Amino acid sequence: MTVLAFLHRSHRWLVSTALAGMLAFVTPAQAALEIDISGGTETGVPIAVVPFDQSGEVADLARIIGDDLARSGLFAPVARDVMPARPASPQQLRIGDWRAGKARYLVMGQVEADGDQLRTRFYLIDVSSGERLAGSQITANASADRSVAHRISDIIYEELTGERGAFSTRIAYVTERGSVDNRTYTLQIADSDGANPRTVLESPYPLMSPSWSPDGGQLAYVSFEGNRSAIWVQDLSTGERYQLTDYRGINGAPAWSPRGDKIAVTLSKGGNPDIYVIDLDTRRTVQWTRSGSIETEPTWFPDNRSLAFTSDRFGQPQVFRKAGPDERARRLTFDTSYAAGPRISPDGDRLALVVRDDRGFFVAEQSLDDGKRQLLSRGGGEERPSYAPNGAMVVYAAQSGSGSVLKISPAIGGEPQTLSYDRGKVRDPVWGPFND
Amino acid sequence: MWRMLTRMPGAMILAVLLHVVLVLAIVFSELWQPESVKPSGGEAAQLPTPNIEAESVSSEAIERQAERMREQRENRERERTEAERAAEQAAATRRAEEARAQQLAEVRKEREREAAEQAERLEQLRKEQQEVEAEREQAQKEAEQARKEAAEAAQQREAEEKARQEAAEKARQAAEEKARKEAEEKARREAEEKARQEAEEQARQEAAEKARREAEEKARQEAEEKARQAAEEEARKEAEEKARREAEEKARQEAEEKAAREQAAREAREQALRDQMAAEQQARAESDALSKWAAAIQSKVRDNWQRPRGARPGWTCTVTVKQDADGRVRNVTVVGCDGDRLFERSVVQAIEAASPLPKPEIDSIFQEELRFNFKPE
Repeated sequence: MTVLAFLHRSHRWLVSTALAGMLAFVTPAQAALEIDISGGTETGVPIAVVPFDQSGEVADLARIIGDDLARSGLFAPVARDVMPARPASPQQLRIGDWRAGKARYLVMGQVEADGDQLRTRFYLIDVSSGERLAGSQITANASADRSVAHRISDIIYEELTGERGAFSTRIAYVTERGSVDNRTYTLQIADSDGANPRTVLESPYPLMSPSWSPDGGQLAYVSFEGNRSAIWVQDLSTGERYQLTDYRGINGAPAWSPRGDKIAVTLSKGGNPDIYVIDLDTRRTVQWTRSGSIETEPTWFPDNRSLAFTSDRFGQPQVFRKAGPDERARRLTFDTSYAAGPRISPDGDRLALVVRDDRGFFVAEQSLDDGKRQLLSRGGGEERPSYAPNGAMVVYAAQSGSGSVLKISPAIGGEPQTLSYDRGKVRDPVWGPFND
Repeated sequence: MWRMLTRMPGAMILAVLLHVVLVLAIVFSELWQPESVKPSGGEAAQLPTPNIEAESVSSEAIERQAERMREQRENRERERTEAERAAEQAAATRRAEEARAQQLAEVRKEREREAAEQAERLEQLRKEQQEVEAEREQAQKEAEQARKEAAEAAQQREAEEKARQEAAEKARQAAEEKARKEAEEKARREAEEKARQEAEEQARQEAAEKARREAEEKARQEAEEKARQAAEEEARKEAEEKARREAEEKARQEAEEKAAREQAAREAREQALRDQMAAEQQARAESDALSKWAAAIQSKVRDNWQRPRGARPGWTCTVTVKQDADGRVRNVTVVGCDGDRLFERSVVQAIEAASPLPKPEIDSIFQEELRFNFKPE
């Protein structure tokens, strides 16, 4: 930690010595004293989410909000037992009580039940300045109490970071339960915190690789029903679905384009698994790769034209980028013997992937600008990650004991959060889009 | 003459004795004359001029008398010869003496008066001597006359006898005179010797005195010269000393003036230096205090900066802060921020949380407005 204080030479200290016997009067510089601050403590921003004034069956909104903020990695909710008070409104807040504490921000609120409606008010206070940064009233159905909390989290997040919050989004994933003889696969959709899971599809055949349509209304996925792989597209609101591909061999890894007009897939109809892009309107399929090696796991760039994918054309899985079916593939990953499961961040600047080292498989994020890569997971048994729509987090499956769990890591690094989940195996999580 | 006598006393004594014998012989020869010859009534005192009386003399007596006269002549001749020799010796001696005396002329001059007197006395003595000589010659003449008369006329016997007596008397008187003179001469010689010795002594004393005086004079002159030289030297030294003192005094005064000037200049310089040092010290103290103050502010702000995760290394955030005199932050203005909102907020919060900011050790360096540059790394 380097600390430098620069006393700028432009400062003039006018010392009047002629005024003997008088206190020498120093005229301060015209330019302000300039102080450099570097280092500091890198930490989640301490934020006190005061338990809301609420009653009844309503979920603990403050808890949900605090957990949301904590998952982002940017915030560090203050433990409730160190809070000096439990204000719920500005009238109850004595900001001086909080300034001695760690919290830089304070969230407080109150929930009023009005029939089956919940009227929730909340306030975001800057503890340092005492300023109210945000505050609003949300009215929702009583059953949507958690959504209210996520909505508040999004507002807070956006107010403080300037980035859109992704707490009110959903995650789709596949579960695998049961014995070998009686195995059940489900396609699940849950809140971003893993809560409120609901089954979209249940099948005795393996389900794999769900992919959200950009509007969040559909999922494409691989199903092995009939003991052959096929890509299906299912409408989430109606539950209707159709088979997109039925080629011989592998039909896998569907990836909906950002604009929703195309789906990239892996097909082995040509002998080797290659990348193809299917136009959803015309159903025209365009082969993007022809290398004779394994090419799979396509993922779109925000430009809706470029793909990143995994290829072992050099003997080991590495991630490549291709700007078009006839463009030359450019390798994106180096310095690792295993790079697979790519996902491009919503802003197109970063690449989340799985890398393998001698300890196992890890989720990592690589800058597409300078190639720097950092690990985001800790365990060593992680699978392909998926970005939250704001790019601030990734979700991935991680081995846990004999099973597996979903974990969310801040994209900036930081402690992964495990989503509460029941036993069994969970895999292929994919983060859904914003809800609008 | 006196000196001659003193030199040859033997000769002189012999000469005197011869004269005495001669006189006695003459006397006795007279005595041996018959009384008859003696005039009656005639007195020796009556005569210098012999009265020649005609008388008859035998030839025998004449022969005897002639023989005696011849003997007397021979004796006289011998005496004369001896006297002459003595005179010659005396002359030679005198010449030698004079030559020697010449050597003493210098001394003699010194006592000229005494010498003149002595010469006078000597002249007197010489006159007397001459008189003696004259008398002796007269006696010889008379004796010759007597002999002639005797030869010529026996009658003159009485006269001759008388003359003889007178001559004897004269000789006796002469002998007495001579003895007297010899005594006188002796006395004179002794006197002379004494005078000479006295003169020599005096001369010696005078010479000594002169030498002493000369030595004294010389010593005096030397002393005077020395004194003069000493005086000159003294005067010179004094002059030099005076000049030196003056020069020293002048130099001292100049040195003092110079020293005073230098002192004044030094004091002025030192004062200026002190002022400058005071100013510099003040400035340094203020600079130090400023550094300390800045460091204190920096430390407190940094301790209160909870830098959000994900802040990128290139991010910077510059804010200006206005504080009141107690260090309380009144206003934070974000001048420019490359980071995201959370980063920017963290910067603002760090400053707000650090409020009140540390106060400077010296009030004079307090600045109301501060500027912060926040950087993640």
